[in-house]
Amino acid sequence: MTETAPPRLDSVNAIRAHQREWLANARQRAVDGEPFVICTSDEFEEVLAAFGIPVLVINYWNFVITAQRKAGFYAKVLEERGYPGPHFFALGLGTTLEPENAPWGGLPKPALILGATRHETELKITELWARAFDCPCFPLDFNFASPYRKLPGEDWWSKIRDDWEDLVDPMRLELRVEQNKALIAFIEMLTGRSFSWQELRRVMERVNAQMDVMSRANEVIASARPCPVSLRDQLSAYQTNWHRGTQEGLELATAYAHEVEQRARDGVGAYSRERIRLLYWSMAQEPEFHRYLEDTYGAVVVGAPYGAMPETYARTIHDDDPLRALSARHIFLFDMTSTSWMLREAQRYAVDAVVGVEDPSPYPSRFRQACEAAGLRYLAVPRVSDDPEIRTILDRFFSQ
Amino acid sequence: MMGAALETFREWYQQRDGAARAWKQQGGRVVGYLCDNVPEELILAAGFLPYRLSARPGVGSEAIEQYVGPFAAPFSARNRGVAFTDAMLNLLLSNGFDFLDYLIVPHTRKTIQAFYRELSLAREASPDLTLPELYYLDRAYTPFYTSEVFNRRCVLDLRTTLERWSGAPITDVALEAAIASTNRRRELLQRLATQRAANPPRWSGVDALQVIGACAFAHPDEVNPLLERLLDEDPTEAAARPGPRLFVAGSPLDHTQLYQAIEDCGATVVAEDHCWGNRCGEFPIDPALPAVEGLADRFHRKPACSIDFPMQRVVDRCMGRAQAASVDGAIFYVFEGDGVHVWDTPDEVAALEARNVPCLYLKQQPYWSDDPESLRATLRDFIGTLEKAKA
Repeated sequence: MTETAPPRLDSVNAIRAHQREWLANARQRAVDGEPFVICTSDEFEEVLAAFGIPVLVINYWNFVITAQRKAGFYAKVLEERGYPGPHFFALGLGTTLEPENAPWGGLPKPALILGATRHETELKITELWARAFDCPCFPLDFNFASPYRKLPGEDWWSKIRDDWEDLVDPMRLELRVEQNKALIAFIEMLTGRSFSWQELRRVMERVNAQMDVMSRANEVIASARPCPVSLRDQLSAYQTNWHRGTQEGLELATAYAHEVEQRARDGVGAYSRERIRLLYWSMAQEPEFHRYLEDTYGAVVVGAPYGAMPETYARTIHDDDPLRALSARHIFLFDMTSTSWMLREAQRYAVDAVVGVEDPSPYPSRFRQACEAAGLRYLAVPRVSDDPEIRTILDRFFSQ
Repeated sequence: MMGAALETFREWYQQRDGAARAWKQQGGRVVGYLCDNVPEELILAAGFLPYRLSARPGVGSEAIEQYVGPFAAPFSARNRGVAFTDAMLNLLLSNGFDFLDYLIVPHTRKTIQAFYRELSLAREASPDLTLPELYYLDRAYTPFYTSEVFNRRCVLDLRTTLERWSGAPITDVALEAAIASTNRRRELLQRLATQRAANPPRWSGVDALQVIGACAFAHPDEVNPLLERLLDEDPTEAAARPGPRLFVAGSPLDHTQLYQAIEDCGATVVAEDHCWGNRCGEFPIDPALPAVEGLADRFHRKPACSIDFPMQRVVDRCMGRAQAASVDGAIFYVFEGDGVHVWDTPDEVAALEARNVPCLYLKQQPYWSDDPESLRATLRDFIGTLEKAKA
């Protein structure tokens, strides 16, 4: 364990810098007349990569707004126009309605906004956003958050790469393939570019390679003692996912994996005190109380769902049909309710406890039940802020 | 307008499970469904009683907490519900709908869709939990050709499931009879809408809401003759209702609290745009089509909740409904957390105001107000301005 936490990984700084450069470059290309697309996450990025069209993922942009502490400002912008909260998904719309205060100078006008109907609000917000930009909106039905008729079973993650066909509703898959084809044709007409099957196949193979690299890095993080990469850096490294299937995405991920391996070989610890290892089972931002936990109890987050995500993006292409494999992934990425997945991660990272973000309740969540049945401690916090009430909860948990 | 027919509708509305329990006592089976876009004709043709689930104020969320668990962001078995959907889910998990044999969960708003997974997981975790057999009725939101093909297949799949449940094929004759029956009900509800929109109005919105809602809790063969009797009464026998003519839109209102508060302030709700009101009489099934194709056509064309693309369709329909009733003002009442309506209501308000229809937009409202006096005060102010304008 190191006395002082090491600086951020060079490869992570490169990923962050690349993200800024990428956006500046995409903006310039858009200004110069090239197409640029805004898209909901985990939907159509690979197809756009095959088209060579830069794509900005809505959730990523909303996290940027939040990280720059502008969420409150844009929530107010939306409120003033008659849209009460919650506003997270609509923050990007806010930046277009009032671009002066937007991060990085705001977004250029896209050729298209597209998205899934993961939630009816997303359908409506993407349409309103397209209207604000005066560009078309192309909706897609269903995605991985839509309930599926057949529960995928507790071992879905072991089947997801090769046996993905078993995890999706055949009718939905057929629909999604057709809708994806229609959207491809629409983009071809809109941009004058031709779509290439060969390029999509290459993109999908690069996605698999990139996800293997990221999975390898995460395996090293899970097995190394002390933990070589902070949660902050793990979350930043995840930005490579916004460039899935591109050469840059693969190179950034590879550099990250190499540096992680080197750190593990050198025995470098990411935290100055690592006494209690935690799995943070939430996709919210890094908890604001993380520093307090480390300083007070030596309790540090060594893993989060982002570490398990890469394996859920990789898909084996069957029958020479990359679009079908991708379409299946669009409608089944992972099972959000799976406790076995969480337990596997807890075991892989050999954690002492799991931290979840839950509403207070007299009844235990599925995650608490699963952890406690497996002999793992489970800490439920109602929010990720660092305030006296949260500290009381933390103190009670870590004093036991 | 206080005839026996109206009294029966009021009774069905107050005692919503009465007809279903009576059906069950006679040996029938009941198929529950959510929202207003499930092809109930297939349920009828299979020999079951269709029963639309509604919420109830004050049922709490104890059973949801117990069986589905607390909301855990974002990996939750439980969806962040709106109060009225939470109330229905809680009733399902606490035997509030113990007369249901089956439940059809449609792909409509997210908090309704989520019932399927929430109930499935709850049953998996607590096998002793008494729940109806579940069926997930998929439906694409988008209006495109590919979606129509998909939605048609969903209807056919529902038919197969109902045949399995009943143990017999659904015949064309039975389906045609069911369609005739529900189309007749829609036609009668359209007549009711026309009578409500008369000038001066003689129907109270509170009564109309109860009549329309009650139709979802009883067999159409029982409902239709009663509706005929009700509508055949001479409307001029009822006293003309003075005061402003109001339009209500926004979240689904399956209770009369808001309408009562509005009408206590001297106005009359003459039309609305939500799924427990006049909409129930819309989108008849095309009798020229083969029966099952007529169902599939309606299923695809009729939006689930107010979810449609482009959004302008939702706005246009809302405006059309208000204009058809020549309203003096509109009240938009949107529940807290109701994502279906948060994003299109400002467009609807703007569209009506552009046509000189004053609007009151009540945002983030409770499903049931524990402070009706404060609501009344707001309504009184708004209605007062309409009265002045009218004078």
